[in-house]
Amino acid sequence: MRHGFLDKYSDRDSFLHRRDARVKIVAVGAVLVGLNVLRTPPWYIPAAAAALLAAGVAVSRLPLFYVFRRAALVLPFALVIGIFLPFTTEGETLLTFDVAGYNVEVSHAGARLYATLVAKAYLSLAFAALLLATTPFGMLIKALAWFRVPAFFLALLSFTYRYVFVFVDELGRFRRAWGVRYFGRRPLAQFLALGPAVGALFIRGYERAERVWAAMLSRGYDTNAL
Amino acid sequence: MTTAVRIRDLSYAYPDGTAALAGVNLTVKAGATFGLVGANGAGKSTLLLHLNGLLNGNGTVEIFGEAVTRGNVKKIRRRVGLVFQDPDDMLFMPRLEDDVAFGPRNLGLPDDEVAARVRECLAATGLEGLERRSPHHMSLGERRRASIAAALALRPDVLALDEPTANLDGRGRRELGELLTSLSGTKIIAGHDLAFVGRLCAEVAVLAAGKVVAAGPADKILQDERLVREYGLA
Repeated sequence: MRHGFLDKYSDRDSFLHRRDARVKIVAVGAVLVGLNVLRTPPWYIPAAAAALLAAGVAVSRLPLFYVFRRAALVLPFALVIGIFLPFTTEGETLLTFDVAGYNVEVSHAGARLYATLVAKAYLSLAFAALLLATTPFGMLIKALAWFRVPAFFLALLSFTYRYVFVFVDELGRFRRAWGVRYFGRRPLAQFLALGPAVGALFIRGYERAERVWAAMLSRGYDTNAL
Repeated sequence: MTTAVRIRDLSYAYPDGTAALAGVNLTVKAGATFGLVGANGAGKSTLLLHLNGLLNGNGTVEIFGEAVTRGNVKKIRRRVGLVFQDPDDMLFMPRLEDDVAFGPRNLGLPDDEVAARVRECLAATGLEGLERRSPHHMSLGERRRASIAAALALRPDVLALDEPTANLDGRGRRELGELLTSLSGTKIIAGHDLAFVGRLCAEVAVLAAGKVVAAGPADKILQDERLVREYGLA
């Protein structure tokens, strides 16, 4: 199977693709700090970040909505995590509801905090997606090494990147094998069968780790290097 | 003629008690392309893992006259290149060139020498131009050749391949055969693809239940229908 759901467009050519990975990392890092350092930043900070993001996407020659769709993955989490903020933050009342006889108030400050949280999460992930989509992962690792990120952490990162694809393949095969024998009956029994299945995936992963380790040793890997 | 690999009375049982090798005796001449055939579970992979000291059973394994011990595994691993069956086990770096460079870097070679070896091995395996490619963006045939490039980068004297044709299509098998023929040095090809082994190897050994049950010229052994059937190869 060939796929690239993480770095599909990273080997394209554009103004952003051609920039040094180190520069991109610093730039994205600066944007993320600027965006997230204040609890409730003035409106023009997220607005400026959004404008910068739009400009970045425009010069990246990526499919138009790719980055925006990627970043949308964070929305369910951000929306759920902040769900109580509008109700629990004290301040000037914006709206009042009547829920089953209780009076529920939404504060102005709470609503704003909630909106800011979601916007910050969305924009942050969008910048990360833009960085990943315009930088081959290997270059990213090299750049991080230049910044003296510990080798152990980089090894962890590159193994994760490498094997997430293998794992997704395995999961895909597994789902197909499941699909051909599942006829929509007895949902509880099917659910209970999930446990052993997850266990089987874990064991496969464990065995693969042993084989990869053997392959590393075969090529002279020094166990003291990390 | 010098001997590349000599194995004497090698036995190995996995920690759960399963006996994988039960007294293997085997000699591979230097420069030969040697076939190690056997059915699934015969012990081929376990035997290969002994060639560079990844496993240490009872008995002796000598590489060019030097016994493999715990003390000299580093030296032995430079001389014996193993190519695993699943390229996804061999290729663990984000980019092909980093995978090929992995071995030479572990040897502590200077950067320009590492780069030269990467170029040389990618050229030898017909993978020029894929340096920056991630393994998950390569076909199985390419990944198999990339595994070989990764092993070659250490300039081994012995190259041992585990089921190199597994899951390959016709073209993949042909290209792999041509690649292996073009490589000098001692090669050990383990598997049960008799046509492939027969075409490349002059000598073969048949492994069954952890023992060498037959050894000799490939044309004689692989043509022996009774033998081939008895040991689950056809």
